[in-house]
Amino acid sequence: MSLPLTILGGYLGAGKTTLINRLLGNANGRRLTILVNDFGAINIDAGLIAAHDGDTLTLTNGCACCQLRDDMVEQLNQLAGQSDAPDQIIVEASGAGEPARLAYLGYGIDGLQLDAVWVAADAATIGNKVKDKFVGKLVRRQIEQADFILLTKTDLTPDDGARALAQLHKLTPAPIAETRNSDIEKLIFGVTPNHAPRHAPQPRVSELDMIDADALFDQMSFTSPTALPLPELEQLLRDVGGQLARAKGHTGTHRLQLVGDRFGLMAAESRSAELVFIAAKGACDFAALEQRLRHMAGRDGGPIAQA
Amino acid sequence: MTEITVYTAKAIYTMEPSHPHGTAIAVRDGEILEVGTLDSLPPWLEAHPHRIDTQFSDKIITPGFIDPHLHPSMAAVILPMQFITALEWDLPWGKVPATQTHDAYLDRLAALANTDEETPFFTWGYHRNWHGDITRRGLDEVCPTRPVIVWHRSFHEVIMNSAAIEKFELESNAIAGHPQIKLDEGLFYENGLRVAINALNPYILAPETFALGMQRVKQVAHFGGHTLVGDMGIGIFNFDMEWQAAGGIFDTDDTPFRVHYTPNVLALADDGDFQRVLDFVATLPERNSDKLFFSDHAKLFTDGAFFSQLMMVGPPGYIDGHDGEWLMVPENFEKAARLLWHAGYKIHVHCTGDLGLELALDVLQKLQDEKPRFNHRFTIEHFGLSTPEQVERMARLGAIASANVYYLHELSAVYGRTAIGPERAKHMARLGTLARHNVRFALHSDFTMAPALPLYSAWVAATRENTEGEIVGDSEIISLEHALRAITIDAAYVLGLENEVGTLRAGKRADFTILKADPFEVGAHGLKDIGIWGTVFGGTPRPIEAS
Repeated sequence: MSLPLTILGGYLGAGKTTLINRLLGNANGRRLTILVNDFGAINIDAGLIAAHDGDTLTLTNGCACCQLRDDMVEQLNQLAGQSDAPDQIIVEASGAGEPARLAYLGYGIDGLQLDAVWVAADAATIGNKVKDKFVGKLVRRQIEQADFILLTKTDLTPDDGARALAQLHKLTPAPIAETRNSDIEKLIFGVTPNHAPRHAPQPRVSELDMIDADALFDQMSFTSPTALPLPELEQLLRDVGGQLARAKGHTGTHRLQLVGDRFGLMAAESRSAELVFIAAKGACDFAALEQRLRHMAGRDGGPIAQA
Repeated sequence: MTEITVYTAKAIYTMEPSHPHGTAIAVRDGEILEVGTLDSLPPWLEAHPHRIDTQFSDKIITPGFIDPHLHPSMAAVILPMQFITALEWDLPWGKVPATQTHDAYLDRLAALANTDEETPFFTWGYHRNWHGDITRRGLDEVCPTRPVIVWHRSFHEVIMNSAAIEKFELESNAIAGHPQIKLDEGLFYENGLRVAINALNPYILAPETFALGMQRVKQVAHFGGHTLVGDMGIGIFNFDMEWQAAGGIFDTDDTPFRVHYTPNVLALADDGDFQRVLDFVATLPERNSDKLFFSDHAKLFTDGAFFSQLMMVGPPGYIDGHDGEWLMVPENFEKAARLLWHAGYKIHVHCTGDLGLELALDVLQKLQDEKPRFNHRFTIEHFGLSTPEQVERMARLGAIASANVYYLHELSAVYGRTAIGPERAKHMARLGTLARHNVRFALHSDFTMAPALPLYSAWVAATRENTEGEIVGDSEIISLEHALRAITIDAAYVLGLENEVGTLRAGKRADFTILKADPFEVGAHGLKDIGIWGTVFGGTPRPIEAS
């Protein structure tokens, strides 16, 4: 059982707090715990608040919002370890920080798994921010580290954010979702792999009925009763890592977590393999990927001539 | 009325330009009555009971040394650890010898750690430039059973042996998978360090360990000849804990110095609410005692740590292309500075790189345009990298500086080779340029970033000699006399206490440092080797041996 950790980054004024307020109010039954930098800025409809205890806000919909503490590692440890752990943790990265650094925190904690790094960008100001003499480099790095970009405040631009979108595309290959018209809740709340079929005679591929309000992503799931051989899987992931937005699941012997071009494999209980791959539309040849996976699983499961 | 005490000395250097020398100084009730000679004191001595104390007749009296920027709480965490350092450290309980090679490091560590004790062995001072790669395996070989925790000199990395990893239960798949932990090497850095600190906290912040550290800070401050130090940023860990520890350990009769406190506004505003912090800061002087006091100063930050190459460097940046970090991003820095400026505070800004300084000066310009202030003491703290143009702007905007000149000593050679190139590295701490623009500046240690030895800092400032014996940036050398001002009256000026301390003059506090040699006889090159007998604090002799 692993608890997804999502990082929400972006420079000051990018709209992170607005997004957090929105997520808390539209969790659709998903129990989120959101750790924020500036607790005072959270603005929830009073009717939704079940309890307000110091720097923790508990909502009637099962969500909670807490001030991010200095000892964040301990805070995450506690959250991951509690018996009624939330369904997902979202950590708001400091506007001054690099979200990828924060993302690394998720690795050191049992039961927690890094899900993805989202970075918000303000359509009205991003053009100037990326050139700013003090923070230009920082803002560019934040954008480069994103697995997904959330483009905010397009209504404040004369061109509905078109210019900002073009600038961002130059900085990152990551998918960009415009927040006003997108179902960002569905995106951020993430992908849940289908349960493995009861009888899976051979490796197979199936489409999942998942996210994709804006048809931003392609995805594919893969299951196999036999474990995937690790060295070959690693080579495969290195080959296609740059094309994938993320991948996760179980290899049969290890848990896989891939975000962008970095991935981790952690030893886990043995079971059937079950993996989900997501890529920006058209970025990855899933048919070829599936073929390699199937080949790999088959080889591990039985004698197949060396290619 | 209390009896007058007259101290005679071989020489008294008052640091008062209009009355620079004397051989006798009369004090009463902690206050200076007169500086002069035994021949000039009779107007006081004939009018009041007095005694002549000649114990310093072969010694030199200077104003009590002032370090306007150190961190007792941070030092209290480090000082209980065993120092194993590349450079020699002179500490009250003994000299720490220079340990400069990989093998020497491991030998020394083994000698110190392999005792009957089973408590974890913490050491501070490891530096890759000298000691090479110290790894879990290397530590296991020399110290297989006792848990060993090696803390990097910058405080940003920790290396542990297997016994420590086992003791602190750090052997797990989740930790092994952390990108900033190399468990097989025992190395924890950046966010990985936070995982380690989380496990180590019960040890390093245990009340008895912290109290031991604070006691050692007290010894260290006295040992350097200080009669006043500035805690430049209380609240760095936890304001209440730090203030409570200070009250218990510094606010006692045996403490031979006072502590001026400047609140760390960034740390106190952990929720970003600067107005709330300002309201809190305004109440702090109500807590003042004779020894521990707040006034109207506040601490802000621009860029990251100099020792960790996290200062923000302007074009052409770092050689390896990495970037520093903002401790406060421009919007937040400006917001906090504006609140403090309009409320009349003296603002101290931690600035290490030239881009950090640029931000501080851009904001100061805006604030001056909004509400011109004179005598505002906007202070650039650390003053690592700068440009001559920035120094001129500092002069025009009325900014002053409190410099860590030790950067130049320890880092100019290695940063020249690996971080920013020799041209910029040799101009760290442009004190000569400050002097030529009549910008007042103090020297500080930021202890434990540099030894809390004012004469050592003054030696670096007046010689610009680095660890390799080279003179770096000779146009930035300052005079011996100027260097001594920077640890006395100009340090007092940075803390806004120039009317009370910093020179020896009728009416000021009777705080002296007693030297065993005359700085003007030994010259700039001899400054660091001058022995310190102790101090006179509030008129009372405080020999170092007795601390």
